[in-house]
Amino acid sequence: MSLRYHYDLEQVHNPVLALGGRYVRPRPLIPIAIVGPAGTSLREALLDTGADDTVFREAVATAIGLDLTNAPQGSGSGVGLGPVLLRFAEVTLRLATDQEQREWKAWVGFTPAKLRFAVLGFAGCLQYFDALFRGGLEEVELTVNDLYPGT
Amino acid sequence: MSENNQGPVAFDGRLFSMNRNKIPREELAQHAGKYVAFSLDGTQILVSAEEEEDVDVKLRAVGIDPSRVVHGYIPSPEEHTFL
Repeated sequence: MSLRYHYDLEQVHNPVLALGGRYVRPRPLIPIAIVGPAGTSLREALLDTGADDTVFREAVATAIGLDLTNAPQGSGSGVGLGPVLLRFAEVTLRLATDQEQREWKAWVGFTPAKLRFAVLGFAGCLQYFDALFRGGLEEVELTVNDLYPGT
Repeated sequence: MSENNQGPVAFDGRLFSMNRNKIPREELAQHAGKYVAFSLDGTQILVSAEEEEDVDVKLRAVGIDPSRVVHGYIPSPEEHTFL
């Protein structure tokens, strides 16, 4: 069993030269539930094999009732993004389709930076899955691996 | 653990992704460059706002539980390539 998702097809105004003139940008954006002590929030998040951590905006922590006051801190950076504060907390993450549901505990980072998308990186997410990115079909398939700690 | 007042949120991420890609270009254009709340099945954009924090305020104002939507972002067509 596995979790399969179509890529999100982002509409653009100008043809994308590198994609043969298409007017969309395919991206592996998938919906994920983040469960905290006081609630659940569903977010679209980018599966990013180049990201070290799984990161959400701090607004998500507020929505699920997480107090980050004394949370362990770190920092992160990306292309064009200077160092940003990350505050870490343990949450429950859930992926679900009509075929399968997976739920596991993970340490994730929360940042005040204005991210466009939450990021599902190695720590907390991709470490637990074998991910097959089917470029031709513009879909991704996630299968739990031996490290997967959840249900 | 109290997930919310109505019990666990049931959602089908695959269906969401398929339906989200069917939202008409004209409708997406109305929310370009904004944070949005999609319906759980991905068929509609329920509200949008320039700031992410304002999305939940708008949802509550129209009587929608923010835990029963999928939060996302609609890039502007003029935005730079995402790296």
